Amino acid sequence: MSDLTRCLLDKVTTRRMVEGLLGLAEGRELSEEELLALDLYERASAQGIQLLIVPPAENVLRLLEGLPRYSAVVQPFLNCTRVVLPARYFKRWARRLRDYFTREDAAVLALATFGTSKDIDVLGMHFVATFDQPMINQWTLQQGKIGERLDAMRRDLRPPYDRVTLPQVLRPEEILPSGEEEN
Amino acid sequence: MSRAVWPMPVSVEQIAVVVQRMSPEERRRLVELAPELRQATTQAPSRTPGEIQAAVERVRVEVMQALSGQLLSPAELFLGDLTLGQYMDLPDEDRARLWDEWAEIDLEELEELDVRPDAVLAG
Repeated sequence: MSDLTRCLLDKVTTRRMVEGLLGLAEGRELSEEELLALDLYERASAQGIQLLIVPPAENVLRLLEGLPRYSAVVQPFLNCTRVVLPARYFKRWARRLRDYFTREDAAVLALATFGTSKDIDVLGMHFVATFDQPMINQWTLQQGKIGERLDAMRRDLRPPYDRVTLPQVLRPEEILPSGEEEN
Repeated sequence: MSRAVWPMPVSVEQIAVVVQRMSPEERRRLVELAPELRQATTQAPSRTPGEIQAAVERVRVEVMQALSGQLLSPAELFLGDLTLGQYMDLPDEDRARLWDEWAEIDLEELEELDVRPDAVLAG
């Protein structure tokens, strides 16, 4: 996983993916956001993107996995995603981000900088995938101030925490492997 | 896949002329008010509808294989004593609230982990 581009799915994006999978299983027509979420899900492995979900979303999916008719739909999703866990300094960074975001959004964004995996071999995410346009706008608008606050915090941290970075916060259809962005 | 299109009182070309006449300070203010402008110039192009449909079709084939070709019925029991159909008929905010209830966890209550010294960073 350490070599892959890491993309953290916020709770809504995870829910759209799962509801999209259930929609395909039901044979119903999918919403636009479900289509976009499933598109990212489908191309992630081919494009070297590791999808990560937050622990609350994993809990719901484990419940669903326990229902026999749903496990065939949910298990492949759980098999190809990983769970992001708070690394040291996550809470401190989340508190700072609450100056700009709701408590829940701040926690997800903080996980994208001070988050790791069960193997504790990675630190931070390249992307946060979200359909929350106001959050994307706020992240873009406050980028300078947030970057300055992270710089100030990093000065007091020990390696490797002193080298963490901010993620890009984008809609699912805009997520591409690192190095393929048009800049 | 259709998006709502808001009628604009002026054309994009007319807006471009106005932008060209703006001072640097006014342009900075414009980007502050509409950060989508900055995103549009720095991000990769979005996926095309054809690419998305093809990808979703591949997922549909996988899902149907996993279900041995048998569609899930809306009457199938889902979480929270709801059927799948009842769950999917709920407004989005109600489904979000149910996920919060079922998750039974607060991110900030989780213990922080110390990563390995050679942990790979995202930068």
